[in-house]
Amino acid sequence: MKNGDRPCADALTLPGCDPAEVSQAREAAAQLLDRFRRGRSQDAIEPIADLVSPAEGADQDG
Amino acid sequence: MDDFDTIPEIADAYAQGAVSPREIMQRSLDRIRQRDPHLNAFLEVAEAHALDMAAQAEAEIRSRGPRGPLHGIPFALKDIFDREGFRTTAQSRLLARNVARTSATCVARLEAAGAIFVGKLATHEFALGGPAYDLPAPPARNPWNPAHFTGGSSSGSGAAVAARMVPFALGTDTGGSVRNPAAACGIVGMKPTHGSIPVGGIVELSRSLDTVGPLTPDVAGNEIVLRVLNGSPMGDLVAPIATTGLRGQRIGVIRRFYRTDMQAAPEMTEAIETAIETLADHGAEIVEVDVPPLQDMADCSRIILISEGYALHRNLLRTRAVEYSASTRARLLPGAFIPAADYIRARDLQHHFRARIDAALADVDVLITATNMETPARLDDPDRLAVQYGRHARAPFNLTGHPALSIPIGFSATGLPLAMQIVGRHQDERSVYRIAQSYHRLAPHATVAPPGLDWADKARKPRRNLAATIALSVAQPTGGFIVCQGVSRS
Repeated sequence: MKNGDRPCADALTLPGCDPAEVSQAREAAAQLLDRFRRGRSQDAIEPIADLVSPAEGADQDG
Repeated sequence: MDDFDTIPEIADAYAQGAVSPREIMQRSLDRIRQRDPHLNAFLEVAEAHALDMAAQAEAEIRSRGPRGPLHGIPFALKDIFDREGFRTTAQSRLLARNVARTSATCVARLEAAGAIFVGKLATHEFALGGPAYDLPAPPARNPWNPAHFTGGSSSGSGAAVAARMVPFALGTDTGGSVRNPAAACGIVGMKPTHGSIPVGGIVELSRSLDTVGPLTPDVAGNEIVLRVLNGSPMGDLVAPIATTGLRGQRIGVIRRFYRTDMQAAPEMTEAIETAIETLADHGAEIVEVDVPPLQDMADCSRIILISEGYALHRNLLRTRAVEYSASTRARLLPGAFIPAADYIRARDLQHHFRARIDAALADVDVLITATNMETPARLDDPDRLAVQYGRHARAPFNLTGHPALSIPIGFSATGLPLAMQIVGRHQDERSVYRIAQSYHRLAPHATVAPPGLDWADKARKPRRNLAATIALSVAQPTGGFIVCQGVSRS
């Protein structure tokens, strides 16, 4: 992951907790996102097709 | 009376007058009293309520016959299900005083069918954190070896059913939390089709993935519970569940999940292959199927789970973070750093993955793959537990919503249960149960009870002594051990 692509959240503070927990969480998320974005299955959705709304009823949770 | 451990056995015994609901309930309560101090499965036991309801069930069965096969059957709930008048704590300090005003829809369905609520069971905090020692109650322990993890997050559900304290329990499965304890504790656990059972009245974790599921020592009892959870009329429940055998059944095997995408422990792989051979030897046609990479599906599922989980807990984390277990914070907080674009991408890919699994199921009746990659680690080995957290093939079917059942297939060299997973088409739990039941009849590993229960019954060791033993033997990375206050009674 490029530096500029690093996930950022609004200032997250956890009262009473070690600030290192937040940086560890940030790192865990970065690793997960890196794998997720590089995953082969990302190619399953065509960039152009991605711009088109799915058919009615396509949402499995509907 | 020791033979009556499953729902069909107990229901049949009631029908024949061989045993009464009060006797079964008293046996269940005795077992909880004797065995639970070793296992920490129960957070609360509703003894007075359970005995009252057993007496009512006995009178009703005598005068009018049973309402159905769950009438008079004891059950327990992972402590994220609301049961009117009892606390729902999610094993968290944050909900320590949270008393349910109404029962969860699925709990109401079980009770309408005559099942009797016995108590609340251990969970990982908010169904997410790992086994933790910085919570009001200690983690549940595996009946096959109390030094080992039960799997989670429906940890108490797995332990209570495996130790034969109750004939069934409910759990929830967001990333495998019914199938994991079922596999680790040597019982049957079903995650039905996503959305098929109402989740009203249950502490939420991830609405796109959360699913209610039953844990039982057997396959037939599991299907009975699921039918009631699905809202089936009582009349449907009386008929015995028939299987048509394996001839003509086509079974797809997803070997890549446990052979190449992840490498399962050799004894797990061997046991799965042996189970597949058993099915083939009895007439099933086995074909290998290809599906997307396990890691892609697991990561996609994780993105959704932690994004939705963090969204639910965001405000409490910002104000009362210290009241959570450290392990829960560690699992929730990464959700703060997932951009919306990635979450939406994951939700889009969820449809793609569902279509791929649908395609894999197009020409077969069910799929078979691993549940977990290895047997559960020791509770005092946090490094191994952390590694095992990601070594499974459960999350793909939370992502795609397909029904998936874990069934025992043997034992490791160290005597811990091995398991495999059977996956069906959406809303086709029947095919999953049919194959599972056929296998269960050929290789009834699920009906074997843990050998340690006898010494547990004789020892009757008080919980405080056990807690002291655990406190001395378990590493405490996150603070002091808090002794469970013992079995409370309503």
